[in-house]
Amino acid sequence: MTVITMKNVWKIYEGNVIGVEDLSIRVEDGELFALLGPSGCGKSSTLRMIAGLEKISKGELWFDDVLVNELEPRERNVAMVFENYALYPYLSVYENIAFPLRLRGMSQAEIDRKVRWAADFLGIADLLPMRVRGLSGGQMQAVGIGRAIVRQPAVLLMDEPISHLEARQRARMREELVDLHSQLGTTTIYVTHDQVEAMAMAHRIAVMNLGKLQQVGTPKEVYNRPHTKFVGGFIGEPPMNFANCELSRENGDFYVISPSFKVKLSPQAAEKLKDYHGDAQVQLGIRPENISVSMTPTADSFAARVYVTEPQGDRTLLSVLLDSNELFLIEVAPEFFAKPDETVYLKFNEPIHLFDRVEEVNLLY
Amino acid sequence: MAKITLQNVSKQYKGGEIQALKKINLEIEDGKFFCLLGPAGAGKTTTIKLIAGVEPVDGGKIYMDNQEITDLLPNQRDVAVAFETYALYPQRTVRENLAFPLRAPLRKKEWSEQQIQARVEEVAKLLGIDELLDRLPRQLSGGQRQRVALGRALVRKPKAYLFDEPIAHLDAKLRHRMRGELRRIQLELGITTVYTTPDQLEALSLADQMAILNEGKIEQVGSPTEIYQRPANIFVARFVGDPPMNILRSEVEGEEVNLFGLTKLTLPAQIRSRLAAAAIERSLMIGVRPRDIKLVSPSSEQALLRGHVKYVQVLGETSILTIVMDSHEVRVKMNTQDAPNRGEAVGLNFAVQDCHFFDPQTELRID
Repeated sequence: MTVITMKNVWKIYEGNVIGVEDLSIRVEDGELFALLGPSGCGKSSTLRMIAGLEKISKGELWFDDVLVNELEPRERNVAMVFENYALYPYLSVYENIAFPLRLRGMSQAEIDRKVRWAADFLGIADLLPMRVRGLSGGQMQAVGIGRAIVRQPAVLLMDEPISHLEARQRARMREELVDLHSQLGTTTIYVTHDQVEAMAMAHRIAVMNLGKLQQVGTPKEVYNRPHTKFVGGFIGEPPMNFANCELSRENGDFYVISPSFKVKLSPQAAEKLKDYHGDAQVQLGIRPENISVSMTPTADSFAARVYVTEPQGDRTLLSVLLDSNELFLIEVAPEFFAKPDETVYLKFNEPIHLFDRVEEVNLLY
Repeated sequence: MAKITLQNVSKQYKGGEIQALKKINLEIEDGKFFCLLGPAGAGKTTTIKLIAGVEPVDGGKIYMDNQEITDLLPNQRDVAVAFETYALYPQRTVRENLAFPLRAPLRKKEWSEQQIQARVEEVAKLLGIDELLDRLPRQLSGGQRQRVALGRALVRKPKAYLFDEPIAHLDAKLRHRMRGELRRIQLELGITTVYTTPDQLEALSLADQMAILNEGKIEQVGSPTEIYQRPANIFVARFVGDPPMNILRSEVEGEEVNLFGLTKLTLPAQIRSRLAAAAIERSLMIGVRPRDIKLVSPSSEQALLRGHVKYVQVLGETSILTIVMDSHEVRVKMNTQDAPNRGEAVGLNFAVQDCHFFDPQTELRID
């Protein structure tokens, strides 16, 4: 049972390359916490610093009220699950799981009891005598997890544990990992580049990009209230649409204007912006499900040209080209039909997001 | 432009140990975007290789516009191929790789140097690799290499494009964009395209017509709408659609079916007569898509089944819930803002007209 606190943590590699920049995060006891971002965002460096596999360049890392910066990995009581499993292929499943216990010189009886507990817990007791070589990807990852939990560590660290399993198996493993976590109750930090995985599993998500923390929040928070354009674009599938606009104030109302449209912002947005004196050049962000489409003009609608339609079973994705030559993705009902190059009429629904074009921060939160 | 026909085509590997394709028949219409969808090992890549002529068939015939091409060499078939494994020339730049098919001896004098350069730049721009033209393949990421391989096929306007998982190595966002671009390119050029993918969403998005392959056999051919709305068997029903269709075993009791001993549904007359004709008396598999199940209060009369929420997976606007009742699990897809919390008791409601019925023995659709 451990609370992990990072205070202004930096990772600076040789040649002054910044891996992680001034990161402050608090992971609560028993939380399933995801570090999410594209490759090179600093998520794995962060995990490795928590594990003790990489030195912290600056800042403090606390496990409860113990400063662990200088502790060796094995003194931290953390266990790690790797993407590539890192198992011994020629040893049995039993011996792989027993390995960390043998390192600690535990008695054979104790080892046997613990290995069987872990294997039962994961439903892989049948595999114990088998060699690792020849197991399926999912089975190997279960062994990797078994080896991590067998010591009942204070903190469980997972680095892309299921990212190279096949799609359906990944979906199943997501549920199993959530189950596992809720039964163990161990503080768990989970690194992934896959936003679906983080959204589906985590209590809270830290979204990172280029070494910097973008936002920490629950899945609903990061989806509904992205603090930066990066978070808006990274979370959600199909992704958020962006359009370059100018922000203008007319008689106390705010409008965003592009070559394609002029949209009046909601009173709530106007309230947020009333003291805004920044650049009028902004980016509007809107999710594919927040745009209505019709074949004839309606009040406040604007024209766009159909690029392609992509049926997806329970919905259809429509891409349209705006007059500004920006491509927008829209979710429509599966019955919707339009031919390429046909004109359709769009209307934006709330929530509309507005980002500063340089700093890329959300101006409405 | 070409119609492609496969007639009883078979292919085996390792001296017959592996039956990659088992007498498949396909007709790919002229100018259509045709997707071959299936899991790993289904025979998708093999089909592409046989149409391209890079491997010989072990049985059956292949036609292009009703002319047999079974024994023609690859370069006599006028097809352009992009394989998942990029097969680029490592010592040549991206520009040279892209220009290569236009300089082939067979096509000498068809293209002037100026036309070649213009075409290469046009395709590179379309695929977002125009900044990379002077790099070597080893200086590129996997996703960039894959786009070069795709571009090398697209520079030409052959009778048919054959694409083997051409965007599998791109990240999610780029894959999205490329999917749209490919669909648009194909619509504009109207060139017959055969495209393999293990990703059902990709197939639904792109295809005019699609075939679902499984263990070397064709499970169903149809438009994306037909396949989604009327899957021919349980395999197709569960392979197409995400999360997969719920398949519930039920017991037939006269005009009703009993679901898990928990609820009874009245069967449509049409299904009852088909059951009688097929002599299905006891069990019936009922399929319901996760989107077609509505949550209601567990105390409501509308609750056909009652259970509790085991998982909530938020995907953004929508969430996927796993509902457990006794030892059974059902997945429901719904709007996140209406979703209950983990552990809550819920009732499930769905309409009989949204159900799919399957024979438990043959796993074939009944309707």
